Amino acid sequence: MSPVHPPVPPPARPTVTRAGLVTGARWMVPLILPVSIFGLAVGAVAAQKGLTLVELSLMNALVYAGASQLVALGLWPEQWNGSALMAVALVTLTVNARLLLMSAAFRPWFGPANPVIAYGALLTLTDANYIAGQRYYAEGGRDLGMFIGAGLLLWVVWIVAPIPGYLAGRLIEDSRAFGVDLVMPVFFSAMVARLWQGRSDSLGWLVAGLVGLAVQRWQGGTVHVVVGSLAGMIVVALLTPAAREKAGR
Amino acid sequence: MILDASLWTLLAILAMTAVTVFVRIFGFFLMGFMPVGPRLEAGFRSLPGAVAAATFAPLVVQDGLSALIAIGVAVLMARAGKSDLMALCVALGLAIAIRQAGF
Repeated sequence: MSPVHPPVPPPARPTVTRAGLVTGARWMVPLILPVSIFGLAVGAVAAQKGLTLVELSLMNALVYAGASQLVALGLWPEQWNGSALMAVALVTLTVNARLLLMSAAFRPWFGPANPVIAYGALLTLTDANYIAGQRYYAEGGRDLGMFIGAGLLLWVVWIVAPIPGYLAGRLIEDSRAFGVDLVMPVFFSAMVARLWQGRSDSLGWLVAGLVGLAVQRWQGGTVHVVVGSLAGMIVVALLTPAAREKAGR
Repeated sequence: MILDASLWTLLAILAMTAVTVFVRIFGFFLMGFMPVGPRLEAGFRSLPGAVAAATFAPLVVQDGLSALIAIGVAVLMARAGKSDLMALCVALGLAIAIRQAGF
């Protein structure tokens, strides 16, 4: 294919560079092992539910949202009908609703970029490149390649890792004893701890935790993640002066 | 056969894909119609921590000591400038030890 050169973007426009892609992939290296282990588990569950290897790999490549896949596979019926299909779609939507907020959070960074690149990049959005991307942006990084490189590396891991799990056809024995369930919480917490900016964050995060806990107690499911994080975000927004001139009120 | 694919399963996978693509792009799309001022930007900057708190608070309450220690140690190590990988290893090591000890 002969490359058609796009017009050179103005310097302020965030763009994608090869160095950015490599940087993003590097950020994700510590996650390869935990994501692989999670992938093994999803593969094993898919095998129990009677998915074929092609179906599993298609799901991993297209959906690429581990927690929602695991929960949806939990609801996987033996006999399909319209309402079973709706249930699977709805539970996927609920578990992934947090991605809506995360996607919105990329507006300041991706907004000025070419929309094709911005939307293309967002197709690789997961918890992992969200958190890494936000930290990269907070530290002054603007290369969209970082976000895409991080997303693509884990995407490949997510396609490959479930295959041996599927073939083994069984769950990792007693994953709790080996702390597999704590890998993502610990990693995520360590990364956000570096994003802390001051007292308004402490207060917002405290509110998010308390609201999340209360809603989870009351509702169960996963809606508490969305409600709690929205509550925390609103608290921080309200604690921030609306404009620089009004600072110190 | 493990290489086949059934129509219903394919439909389910496509439905899951559609809703996931929707949440991945729609938040960004929606924000295109709202000016991102200092308040909204500060809110977004704090969102990762809020997501973590809202997600992990119930987990800690349910799981107890091992989750609390693991997350707490990881946060303290990260604030002290240790690498994410080192924080992960120490925190998980402690959690595994606590669980092996029967807590």
